[in-house]
Amino acid sequence: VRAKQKLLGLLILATLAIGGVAYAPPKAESTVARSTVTCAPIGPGHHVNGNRTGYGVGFVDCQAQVQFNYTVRLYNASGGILGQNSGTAVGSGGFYTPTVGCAGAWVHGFIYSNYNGQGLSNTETSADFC
Amino acid sequence: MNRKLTSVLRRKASQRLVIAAMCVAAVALTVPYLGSGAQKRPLQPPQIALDNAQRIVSVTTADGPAVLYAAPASNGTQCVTISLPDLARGSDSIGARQNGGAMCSAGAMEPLTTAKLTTSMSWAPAGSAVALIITGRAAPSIRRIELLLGDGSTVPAALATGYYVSRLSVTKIGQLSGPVEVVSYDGAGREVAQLDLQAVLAASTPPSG
Repeated sequence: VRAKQKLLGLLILATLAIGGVAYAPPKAESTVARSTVTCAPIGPGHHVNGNRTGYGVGFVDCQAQVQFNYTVRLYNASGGILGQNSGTAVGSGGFYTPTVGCAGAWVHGFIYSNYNGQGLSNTETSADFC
Repeated sequence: MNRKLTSVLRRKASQRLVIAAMCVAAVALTVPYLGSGAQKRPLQPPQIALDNAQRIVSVTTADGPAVLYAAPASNGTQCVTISLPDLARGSDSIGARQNGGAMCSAGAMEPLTTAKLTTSMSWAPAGSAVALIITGRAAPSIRRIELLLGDGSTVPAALATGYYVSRLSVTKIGQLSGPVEVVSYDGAGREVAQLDLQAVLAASTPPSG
């Protein structure tokens, strides 16, 4: 019986220790999180209007309130940049290029993010004829 | 008999305590992951409600006009859209309110707190040249903004309700024609902050160019 009681006591201590780690102060938790923040470039896309114009669109999600740099582009099939928007933003955001004439081109979107020197890009795999 | 009963009751109480403690630990370990899981939802392209767009600020420079609008988006964020009335536009009339590009974020309409200036640059073909529209946010203390070009000349930016907009002409999409700095001043004419657009562009451009 005593051995069982000791085992139970140890289990309680171990459980409380795990609980204590889980309830660590938020400051320590956020320090770890911030050092692993990445700003993901998501969902590059494009839109083609009926009048043979179009624009590119993309999103960046940092999952933290950090400032990052971005570029969103509308490309043609040969890699020419038809329109671009670049700048800085905080946290996350959706970005659109200007509307540009694209008659006769196959167009696709592109998004690039740079947080703290870590550059990530994403290119749309499908294209549309404008 | 009483001793036996007491022993059984104690053991049961200990077991219940262990189970309760394990439940607390399990919840504590799970909750943080539930939180980060919610943040990992894939973003959906927001639809910008251009019919509800409100004009923020407009400017007509030697290179042409530019207008900023504020508009809500379908995903609950706020968008700042750029209009270039003299350039290509979508097939519907309201599409002209974002034909210079757009930026949408949760804090788009909140006053700047830490940074004094932010910036966004949009390039679009304009005849034989390329229009470069420079927009951004300015801290509440800023009353005047101008672009300082490499040759020492300045181009005024229109500023209202914490947003500014200006426009230049360049030769190639994604490039500047030389050094450009956004310079801001307070009500007494003192310089508040500067932004080097070449540095911003360098940090925003992928290594492949």
